[in-house]
Amino acid sequence: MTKLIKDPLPGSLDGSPHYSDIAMIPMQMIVSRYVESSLDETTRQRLRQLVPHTFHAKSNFLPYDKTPREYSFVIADGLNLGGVKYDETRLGGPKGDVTQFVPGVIQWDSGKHGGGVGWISVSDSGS
Amino acid sequence: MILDPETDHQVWPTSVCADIVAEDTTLSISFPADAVPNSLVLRISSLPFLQLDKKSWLSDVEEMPGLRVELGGNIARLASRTLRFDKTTTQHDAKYYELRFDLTGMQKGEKAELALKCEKTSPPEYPLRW
Repeated sequence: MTKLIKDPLPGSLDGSPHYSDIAMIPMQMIVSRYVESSLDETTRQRLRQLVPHTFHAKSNFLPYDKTPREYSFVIADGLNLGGVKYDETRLGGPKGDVTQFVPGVIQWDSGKHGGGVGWISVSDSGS
Repeated sequence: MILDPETDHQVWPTSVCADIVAEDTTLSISFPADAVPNSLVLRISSLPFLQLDKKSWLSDVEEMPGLRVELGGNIARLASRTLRFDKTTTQHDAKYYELRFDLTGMQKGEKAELALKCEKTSPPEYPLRW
């Protein structure tokens, strides 16, 4: 959709090198009524109000992972944590991009004078 | 495990794996004894109004705007700290702190563990400093 925009967008949006993605916003306004129509009331309620909770998931990425990855999340008001248990054939998976492989993250509300969102990320340097 | 013949320290893990688990308000990071990497890196946001340079990040407890972190585990004190700038952007707040935990001195057969127990706090009001 961003290719449809002929006029240049204003200067870079602070904090987002993907500022042209804002072109998706009007599209979401259009399609949301159709997407949301498939959500049941329980799901809608969960989206309306944040209730502190944990979440666990698994994924398989064979042959690059020796075992399934196990994800765990803690989501609360103003604080969330996420971690991954992994066993890879090489660090960063098939791409081997270590900088993009961040298996642990903490984010919290640091207040507007603290920049809004504070973060701690975990990287396995491998060497 | 591959060992450096000079130092007898591990130089490359035979397996690239870790157990990183979020539970309650704690992020636990651990490496099995036979797959401890040479180092573990934490990157920490350094925000324009955050005077992190005056903080140690080697203490048992660290305070940041909006968060109190209690460090635990057997590698909590093996860190060195570096201020880094993200050169991919010109944003004023594109700097962060990097804590590098040197794990080459770990005892053979010892599991490496780090726990970050988080407690949400009220962010203090820093003066605007544009």
